[in-house]
Amino acid sequence: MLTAVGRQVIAFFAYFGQTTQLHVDNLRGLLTGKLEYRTTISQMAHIGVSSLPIAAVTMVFSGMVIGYHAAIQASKFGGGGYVGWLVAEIMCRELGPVLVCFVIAAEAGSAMAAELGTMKVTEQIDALRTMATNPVDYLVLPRYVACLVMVPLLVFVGDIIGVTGGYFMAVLSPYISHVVYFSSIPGNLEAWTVIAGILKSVVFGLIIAIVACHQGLTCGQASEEVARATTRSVVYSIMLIYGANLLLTIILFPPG
Amino acid sequence: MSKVPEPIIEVNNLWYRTGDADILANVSFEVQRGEIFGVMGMSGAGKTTLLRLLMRLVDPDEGDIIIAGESIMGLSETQLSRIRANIGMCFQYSALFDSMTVAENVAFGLRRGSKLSEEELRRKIAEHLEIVGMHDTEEKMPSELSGGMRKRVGIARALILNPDIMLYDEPTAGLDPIMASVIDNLIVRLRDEFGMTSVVVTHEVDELMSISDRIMMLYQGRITACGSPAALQQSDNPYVQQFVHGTAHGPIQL
Ligand SMILES: Nc1ncnc2c1ncn2[C@@H]1O[C@H](COP(=O)(O)OP(=O)(O)OP(=O)(O)O)[C@@H](O)[C@H]1O
Ligand SMILES: [Mg+2]
Repeated sequence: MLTAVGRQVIAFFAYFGQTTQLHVDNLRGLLTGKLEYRTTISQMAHIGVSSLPIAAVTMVFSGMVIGYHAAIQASKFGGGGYVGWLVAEIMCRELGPVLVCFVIAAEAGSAMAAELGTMKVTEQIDALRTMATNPVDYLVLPRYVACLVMVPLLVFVGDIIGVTGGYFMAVLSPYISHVVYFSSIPGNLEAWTVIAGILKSVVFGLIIAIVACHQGLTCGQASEEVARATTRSVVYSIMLIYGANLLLTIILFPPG
Repeated sequence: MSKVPEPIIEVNNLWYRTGDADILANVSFEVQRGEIFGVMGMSGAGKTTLLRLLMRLVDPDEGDIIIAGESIMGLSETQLSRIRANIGMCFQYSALFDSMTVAENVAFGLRRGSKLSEEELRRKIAEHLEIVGMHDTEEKMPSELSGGMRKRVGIARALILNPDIMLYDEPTAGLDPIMASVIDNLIVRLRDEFGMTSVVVTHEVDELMSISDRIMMLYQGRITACGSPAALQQSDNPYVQQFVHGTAHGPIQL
């Protein structure tokens, strides 16, 4: 029993060590100019194309339900003039970063794990090494940088889509005017709130890229291992995003 | 002064284990520069593992590997790049990059390692595809090729970098007899014309007998015999006899 727990603890620290190492290798590659621009741009396009549609759907529907609830509740207190602002706060602080990153982990992250895992199983990664190409520089770094750029961008777009979704439901209420929904936002929503949400998503983006690429690179030698690595990359990313989100929320939005 | 043969690959007391199984046990041998060194053995004997160790794609548990006078055991991945640049590897299952065309596969190492113009590059790709009988397949994707065709593209991809040493893992498995002899002739020609050293892994006994200068036989991760093809043919070692003659009866248990 104790040894089983001990093994889990060791496995956890080994995982933490390996992913941190991958992170360090990426930064070293970046600083020593190993970034391949063409691959990075195609990865960026890939992340955008694969994740934007589902992210948009996710955000528009979340915005709609939040807008609906907010409109009903706020109208009771005569606060109909603040519904737009309330939805925007919720989107920028929490739902935008977290939900969009879940979508990216499930869409783009799983694709990265599957692609690198397949390359591992079919010895393409070994073939890279025989041709004097470092797999981390060649495969992981472009994905890492692509996530670093695209994830915050998608989150920002997601925030806007969420607020717009809220609008469609909120204006169904007779107490909320079309104009006031949006005009309540600029004066009340602080720039820092938006920035802090984006900063969170930068960290989530790094988590997605590192977790997915690590799963791919350490994939076992059988094809069912690819499926397992892919699933694990999504589950681990989401769990780590939960944890990181709590920590970052406390740091970025201190009480008082 | 007589010419002392110069070993380009030296392997000393190599052990490789997974779990508690010895995949390779105390393997030591030398390959001379300009030699075709055959490695034969049954499926699971550890042939592929040996090639992967020579490239240090995996690390041995014990032992030393010396390439061109330099031990590769203590080298970092970056330092290994320098050694690997002189070694070409043809993988058992080709390991072509499946997101790239045939031409991009073949050009991969050159594009990254040298500053050739696109024109020169195209000419070299065509030339090397021609050598392995794969002309006019530049724009095909690996998924459109048969196993034997992929294997030949894999050989072209390694050869184009003009390495000193080529490691072939089952280069002719899955090829028709005509194409197989084209590849065999190629390996011999590369030795004769360019003094290239080759390590050829296969379980095709006849093929090895005809092209190799020396042959090593592995059985369950150990060296059973090593010598010239003629010596192996006449060996009274019952394992070698059974393998060379391909009989079901003998000391080799299935
Ligand atoms: N990653 C691994 N994990 C565990 N065992 C392995 C691994 N790779 C190879 N082996 C074992 O090592 C032994 C040798 O494998 P290897 O691939 O070197 O054989 P081989 O001689 O190339 O066989 P074949 O002719 O079928 O290609 C086999 O018994 C195999 O089960
Ligand atoms: Mg093999």
